[in-house]
Amino acid sequence: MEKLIKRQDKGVFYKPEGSEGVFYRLRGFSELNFSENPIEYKRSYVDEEYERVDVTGYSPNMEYCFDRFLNNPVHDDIVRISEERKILRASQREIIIADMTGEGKEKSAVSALWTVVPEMSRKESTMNYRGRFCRYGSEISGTITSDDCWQSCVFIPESKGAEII
Amino acid sequence: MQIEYISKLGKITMYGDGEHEVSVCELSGLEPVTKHRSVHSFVSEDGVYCDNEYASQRVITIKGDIKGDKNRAGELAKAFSAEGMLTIQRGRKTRIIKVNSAELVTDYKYSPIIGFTLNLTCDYPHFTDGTVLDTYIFKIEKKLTKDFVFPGAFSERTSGGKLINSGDVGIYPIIKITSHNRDISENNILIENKSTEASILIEKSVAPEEEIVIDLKNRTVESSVDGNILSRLNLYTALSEFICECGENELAVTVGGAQKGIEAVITHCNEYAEAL
Repeated sequence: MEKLIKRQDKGVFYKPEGSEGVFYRLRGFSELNFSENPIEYKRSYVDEEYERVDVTGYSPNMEYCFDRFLNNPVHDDIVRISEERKILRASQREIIIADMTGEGKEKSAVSALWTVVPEMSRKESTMNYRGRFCRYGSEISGTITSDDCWQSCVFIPESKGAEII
Repeated sequence: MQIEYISKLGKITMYGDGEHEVSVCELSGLEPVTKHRSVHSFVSEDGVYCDNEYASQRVITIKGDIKGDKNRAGELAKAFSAEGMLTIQRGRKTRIIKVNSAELVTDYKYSPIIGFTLNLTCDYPHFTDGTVLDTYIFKIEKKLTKDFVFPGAFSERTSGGKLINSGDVGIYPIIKITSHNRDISENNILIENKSTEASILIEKSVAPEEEIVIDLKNRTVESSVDGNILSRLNLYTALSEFICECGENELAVTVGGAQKGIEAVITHCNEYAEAL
């Protein structure tokens, strides 16, 4: 039987600096938009009337927006990157995107390094932070396990020895 | 369209569609090249007088991409690192040009598709169509064979001939004279282009079975007996003046006054100022 996939069926987990292998689920995010940003190679050959397009790669990113909550390890880490203007490796974090459908204690997931690109903070009725996560490294497939109802998880890479640099 | 480059270091074939490993997106530099002119003018006279005019070198630019086998990029670089011949085939039209140097720039931005730009410099700017044409300007062909029947001619003589230059630029052909005559009394070889009134006079006696090759484009005169015989040219002979203009060129050759026993053949390729 067909089943509609809900937004929360795609779980996104973030590893703050110094979390020692624990990834925390993104909570309090009012926006999280995925863009694949395919890299297109367009050209037209001398004997052809039409244009050919190939996709030669992807440059994915996620646009985020969250209302600041205290004592949220993900918010604290992103705000620190934003306000302390972290650069290069200091602004990069591991993020897991997991398929939360199905039963079982393990969920299939992919982990990759993303650069946090803060864009603006805005004070409305709440403190609001907006920016992008831009993919930095290649993906590693694996599984995640959790013992707190998926509020946090641990990532187990599929192949032994695979590490995110 | 098919573009082929052959050098001593390899052969590369490029195509005008996207179905092949090496394909062409842009091709330029096939139009007639700019002519450089030196002129002088006189005070209080309108206009200028042209002293000298010549076509400069040709630069052909090919932009394209390599798909599939990445080793093709290495093969492309290797083939184009030596001078070679570029053939452009478009329908039934073929144009060939010698490439003296090449500059290759590759772009790996769209991996696994590798973009490339080739700048090819051709010192001599004109194209040929690849067809080598021989015109006999002096020949006696024996017709008397065991199958001979009357009435008929014992021999057929070609004395003088017409070189038809179907291209669009003047050409310098190769003239080859072979002597089979043991009885040549005078010491000279005269080749005339009656259409342009240019002539070449070589002051030399011709030995039996001697072969003389006059390569007008490369300005050489070689004898199979005496080697380089440029010094035997008559003082008033300038090889550069013996150009065969577009259209008909009526040519004649005289070897020491001989009426038989010599063979003179003129070899040329039509040349074109463009390959559009």
